[in-house]
Amino acid sequence: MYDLTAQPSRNIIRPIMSKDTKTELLSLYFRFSALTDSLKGLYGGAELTPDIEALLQVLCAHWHAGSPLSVRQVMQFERLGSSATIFKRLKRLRQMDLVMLLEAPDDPRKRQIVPTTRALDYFSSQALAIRAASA
Amino acid sequence: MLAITMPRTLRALRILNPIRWIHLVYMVIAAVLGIGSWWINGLIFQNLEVSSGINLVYWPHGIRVLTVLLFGLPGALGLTLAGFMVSPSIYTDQIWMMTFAPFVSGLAPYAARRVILLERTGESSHLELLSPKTLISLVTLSALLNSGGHILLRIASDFGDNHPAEFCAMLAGDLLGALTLLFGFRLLLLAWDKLVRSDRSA
Repeated sequence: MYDLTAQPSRNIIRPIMSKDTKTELLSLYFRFSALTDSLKGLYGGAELTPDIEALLQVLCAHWHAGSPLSVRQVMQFERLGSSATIFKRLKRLRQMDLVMLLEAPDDPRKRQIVPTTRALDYFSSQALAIRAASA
Repeated sequence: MLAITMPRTLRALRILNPIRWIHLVYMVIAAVLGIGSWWINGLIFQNLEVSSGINLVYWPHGIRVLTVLLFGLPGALGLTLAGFMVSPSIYTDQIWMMTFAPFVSGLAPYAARRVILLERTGESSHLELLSPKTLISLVTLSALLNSGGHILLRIASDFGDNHPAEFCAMLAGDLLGALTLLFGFRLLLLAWDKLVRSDRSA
């Protein structure tokens, strides 16, 4: 006779789902998430939303002024969102190959955010569009 | 009083803990995906087969890359296992091809993953820095390794005749198939996102 009043679920589940297995499944989820993000960003599919574009503009403006921002510095721009949101958008910009991280010349521990040629091409095309519209 | 506990047979499986039997599950999933995709591709693109085992559109290569990205080495081993199951029907009476071709098909995407991700992202287990560019590079290198490995095997076992043409056809098939699959998935994901957004706004 089985005693159904006993607490069965723990006894059954714990040995099957060990901590290692749970960690592995969590890793699998993150890998899947990264993969879908990457697939969405395949050429032609990358969506530069206004929020992400605003962040890109701030990053490029600082870089153009000769003082590129570090990851820590950009995460303190409260008007762009919370630090977690900014970090997520920064990650998206890196996945879209619009910014890259380079070591600071004066301090190799510090990493500065620098636009890629793709980002510069994007701003060039914007400038051309503005010029064409105003002509 | 007998409480419901884990059956003894399952308890015995705990000795497999160092192997982490979730990896065995990954292997089985990868093997099923490998065989299934090969079978479906054969059904759809049978007319585009230029030689035994060479097709001008071979999208199972894309499945292999995605499987290896998700499941890592267990995924590659599962694909190798799948290769062993299908190779007797492709390379009849070709012992060399039957024995070694599955290793090439299963391990080429894994080798590409090791090379590309180690170089670009330090191969984090979460793939958080996997960019679209990296994905395309990975598919290309995997296609090169796969077709190169197969053609070397064909030369060694004196199977096939025009090896340079076979290499080009296999490379084109792997690349075209994988890219078609990736862009197909991309369209599906974007369509899904739109659907979710419209549901939220409604």
